[in-house]
This record gives sequence, C-alpha cells and structure tokens, in this order.
Amino acid sequence: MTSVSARPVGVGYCFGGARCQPRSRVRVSAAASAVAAPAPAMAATMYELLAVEETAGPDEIKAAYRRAARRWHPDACPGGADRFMAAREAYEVLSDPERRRGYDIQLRCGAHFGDAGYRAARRAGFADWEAQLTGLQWRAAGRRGRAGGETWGSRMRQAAAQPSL
Amino acid sequence: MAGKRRHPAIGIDLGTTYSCIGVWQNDRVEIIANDQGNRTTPSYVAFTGSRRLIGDAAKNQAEMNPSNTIFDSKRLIGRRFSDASVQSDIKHWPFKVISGPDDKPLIVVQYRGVEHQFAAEEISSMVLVKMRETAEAYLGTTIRDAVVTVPACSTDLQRQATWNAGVLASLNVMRIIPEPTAAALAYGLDRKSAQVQGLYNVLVFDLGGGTFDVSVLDKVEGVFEVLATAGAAHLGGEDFDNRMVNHFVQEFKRKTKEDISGNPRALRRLRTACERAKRTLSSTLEATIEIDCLYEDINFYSTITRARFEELNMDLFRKCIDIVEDCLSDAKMDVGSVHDVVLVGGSSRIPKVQQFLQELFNGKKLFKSINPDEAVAYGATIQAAIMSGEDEIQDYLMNDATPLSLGLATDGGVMTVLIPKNATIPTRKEVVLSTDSDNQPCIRIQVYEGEGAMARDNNLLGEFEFSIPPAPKGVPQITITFHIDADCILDVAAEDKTTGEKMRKTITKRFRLKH
Repeated sequence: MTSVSARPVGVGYCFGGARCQPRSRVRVSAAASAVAAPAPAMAATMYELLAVEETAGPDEIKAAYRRAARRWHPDACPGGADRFMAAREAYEVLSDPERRRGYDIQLRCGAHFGDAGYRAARRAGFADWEAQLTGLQWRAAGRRGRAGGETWGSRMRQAAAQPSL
Repeated sequence: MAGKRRHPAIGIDLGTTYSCIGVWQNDRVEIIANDQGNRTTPSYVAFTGSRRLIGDAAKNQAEMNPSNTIFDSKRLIGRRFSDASVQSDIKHWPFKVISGPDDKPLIVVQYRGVEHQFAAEEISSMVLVKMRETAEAYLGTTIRDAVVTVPACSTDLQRQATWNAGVLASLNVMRIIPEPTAAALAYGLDRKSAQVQGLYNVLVFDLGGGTFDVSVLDKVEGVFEVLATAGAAHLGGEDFDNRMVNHFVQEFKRKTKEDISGNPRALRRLRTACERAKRTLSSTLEATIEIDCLYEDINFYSTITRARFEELNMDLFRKCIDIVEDCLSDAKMDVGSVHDVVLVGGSSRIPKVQQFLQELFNGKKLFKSINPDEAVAYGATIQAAIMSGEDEIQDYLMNDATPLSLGLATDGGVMTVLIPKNATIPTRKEVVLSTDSDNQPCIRIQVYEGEGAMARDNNLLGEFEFSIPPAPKGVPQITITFHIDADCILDVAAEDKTTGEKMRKTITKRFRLKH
C-alpha cells in the first residue's frame, strides 16, 4: 500500500504558527484584538473578564462565560486560547459559591477602589491591623450564619459605600 | 468569502461497524452516498487472491473469505495485544491477530498469495481512503481536511492511532472529536429554527454497532459544553447479534445434533442473517431465519419473536440504562432537568431500548429527527465547517472536554490528578512538587491517564527527568504545568523557581502531512 511521509510536529501555539486557520476579515480583526488584549486582561478582575456586575447571579455568569467562550475559543479566534482559559477559570471560581465568596474577600482586601482605597492609603500604618480585623469579621460572620441570605461580601461592599467616621 | 477554503472540509464518522461521511455544502451538511448508493459504508476490508476490497464489496464476500475479511479494526486501534479486551475479542474473530513489536496487535491476512501483517490503523486508514474517495467522487475535487470521530472514552493512544490512520489516508486531520459531542452539534443545528434562549440540557444516547456512549451537555448562548461522559467500549449491535447467534447455534444443535460453533463460514452466514433479522424486529414482531446448506447440506429455517430477542438481551439493555443514570449522576443532574434525549447509532432504534429510556425520563418524547446512523458524521461535518471559518456556522461552538483524568505519579505511586475527567479544553493546570530524599539529583515526571487511584492502574503517556541542584528533602519547589490545547495535545513543563531552570515535553504525539 501507499506509504505516506510524515514527521512529528512540536507543540504549536497559534500566534503566527502554520496551524492557524484562515479567517474572514472580521475574524482576523478579532484575532488582532486578542493579541493586543493580554496586558490589560492580566489586571482585570474575574468580573471584568466576564463583563458582569459583582452582583450577577449564577445564570448571568454562565451566559457571560459562554459568550466569552464563543468569542475567544481557538476554533473561533486563533490566538485566543489564553483569554479562553482565563474566562473559564473566572467562570469556575464565580459559579462556585464558596470560591466566589473567597474571591470577593480577596478582592476586597487586596485591591482598594475609589473612596475606600483613598482612605485606606491614608491609614497605611494600620494595614496589618485592618487585615486582622477583616479576618475576624469574616470568621464572626461565618459563625453567626447569614440572615436573609446576605453574604459577607455584599455587606462589606455596602459598608464600603457608606461614609465612615 | 475571504475565509473560505479552496477545498471543502469533511466530517467522517469512523465507526466500529459502519462509517459515514458528510460535507458542508450550500450552507448545510450533505451526507454523501457511496458507489453502491448507501449513505453508510461497512468498516470492512477484504484481501483476496487478486485484489483488495473495502466497504460493501468486502462485507458482501465475507462469507466466502472469512479469514481474510477484516472488521472491528476500531477495537484494536490504539490498544495492546495483551489487553484483556483484545484477548476476548480475538476469540470471536475469524481472522488472525498476533503480537507485534511493543505488544502491538497485528492482523495477518493472505493477500495475492502472500502473507501480510497490518496494524489496526492501517486497516482503518483503508476505510478512510474509501470514505475520502467517495467524497472526492461526489465533489469532483481533492479532499484533504477532515474531522474524524472517536468514542467518547477513548484513550490518548486510541486518539493518536486514529489520527495516524487519517494521516496514512492522506488526510489533514483537523480535529479528533468524540462521537456524542458530534451528535450534539448535529442536534443543535437541527433545532436552530426552534432555538430557545437560556439553558438547554441535552443527553446524547449513542448506541452503535460496537460501542455505547452517553454524554450530558448543556447549551447556553450557542455554546455547547460537555458536563459528563460515560459508556462501555463493548456494548452495541454486535453484542446483540452475538446473543442471537448463540441462541440459534443451540437451536441448530438441538435439531440436528451438529455443533457449528467452530465453523467460521457457517457462523458468518448465521451472523449476517441474525443482523438482518434484528433490523426487521425493530419494525415487526417476528422475523425469520432461512439459510440453505448452513452446514453439510443441512438447511436451517427458524423464526424469532421480538419478545424472545428482547429476553436474550435484557441484561444488556438494562446495562445501557444503568450507564445513563451514572452519567446523569456525574453531571449532577436529575432526569427532570434534561430537555431533550438525542438518539444516535443504529441500535438506538431497538424498541425495548427506547421504551426503557422513555420510562427513565418519565415518558419524555425522544429526539429522532436526525437519522441516527448519520448524526455523528453530520456533527463532525459541522465541526469541520466551524474550523474552516464558514460564516453560516459561526453561531455555534463546541467546548470539548478531556475524556479521562490526567496526572502524575507521586509519593509511593499515587496518581495525583492535575486535570480531571470532563475538564473543558483548552486548559492549563499547575502543581508544585518536591523531593522525598536528601540531595535527590532529579525528579522523574511520569504522566498518566485514567481514573485509577494508583498510577500503575492507569496508562503511562510519557515521562522525563528534571535535574535539580542538591538540597535537603522537601526543600526544592518544582512547578509542573499541564497544558492541553484545543486539539487535545498535552504539553508538560517543569520549572524550578529558585534556579529558573525549565524543561518541557509534548506528551501527545501527532504527525501532520507536509503541504
């Protein structure tokens, strides 16, 4: 029978690789934006990656993830694999209530925004103390349970929105 | 259009018993008939004193040439001769299988008067050549790009061997996709006009000639995602045929005192008649078996009722339902949450199978709009169109999943899973390892595939050693990263953060045609 000459191919990412599929014009621009996007994506929160509000429910998060998947999956967007995997990771964290709660706490403690951030900067000397207080409040909230289904994260966000003495 | 390929891309259902091929044409899937006018082609290859036959021609002469007519090569592809399932299969095949280098099974045939030995992927590649030539004859142009299907629970070796079969057939295999995933794509497109907003849960019930696959998928915003997969590598129409063959062998023995179980030619003729009778029983309550001169001038005439056929196979039908329940459990879904049950594979037409499924799903109407024999090729063609950038199909996307867990052998030979079964691909996962003895010179990275808790119960996919500077045990911090791309190619990297030393290895081997 006919023999076919073949050689092994090493791992190939789509960036400029021979395995990229040709795309119509609009898809090529999507690929271009994918290449440009990684830097800002690194700084984005998981909510921003999926383009949802921090109050989004599970169904909304799932739909948002699928929209991101359709945009960034390598089949639809050569070079989009990293963005796709980031969206997948964000979806997995935010769709698991426990992991989402942990992520929200991490977000609140590790990254200050707006007024809260400004005030925190002025009290830099108390950073360690504030972190311990946050941890204590978290554990206390866990012990008391959550009346009315309100999560600790949402209560902290409401508190942050109000002026403090 | 700017993105269109010069040559059309095709989808091929490379089945255990039958294969099927489709092409994306005029903004839809066309299933292509072969030179006999059939839309499915037997996965048979025969070798005679003068020529080689593939497809219908091979199957039609099987009775006269049993030891040189090869079928079920899909059951050998990517397997070892010493596998228990291979040893069991060999007992049922009239053709000869021996152990080749590296425990690779080889099929022995007489071809043009000379003994030849073929690997399973070589036989499968002959079937693929037949499918490719069928498409080329229909389209009047050269075919290169194809999506080929495999059973859902295929190992990496099986996918690799299937890929290699495609290369041997002069195909550029764009993607290997699981059969239930392909069928879900077919279902999704067929329901486009009735597309619903929000979440849609689908269970694909794929009972073919050789294998049984169940997958639970959901569809949101046009994106399908695999939630769970289950199946049996040895459950399908051929098994039902075997029960009938055994039944009639016993009946023949009672009537004539002759045992034909050691006669390959008689068994082949009986099996062909049983397969035909089985199909008849899906639409009638009784079927006849009439074989002249079955054995030494003895004719054999008999009948079988649908009820008797069901009785012979009841345990196998129940096993199918048990697997469906396991799959739903893995997907954390109850039967009430499933919006549609999609039937795929010729054996899904069996009335008792459908009855059991309907009972399980509280009387829900089963989805039968697509021909079950063609659904897999239909979906593979859709995937080929998606990857070719066909504009009409860009609303759809399949998020595929890993068929088996992937991990490392760690302390004491335990399997440490980095990427669990059913993880969406592409994906990347990391784990940090250390040493278990002082001044250990290197860490051995052994990559395994499978669900066993101990590494030795799983498939070893590849290994390499990573050198590290001497240090007390437990001190080095080696980060191991697994990356699986959209083509299911696994890349493993090791990095020592303290020294900056790195090493990587592509575990999944693929070959690609030069263009």
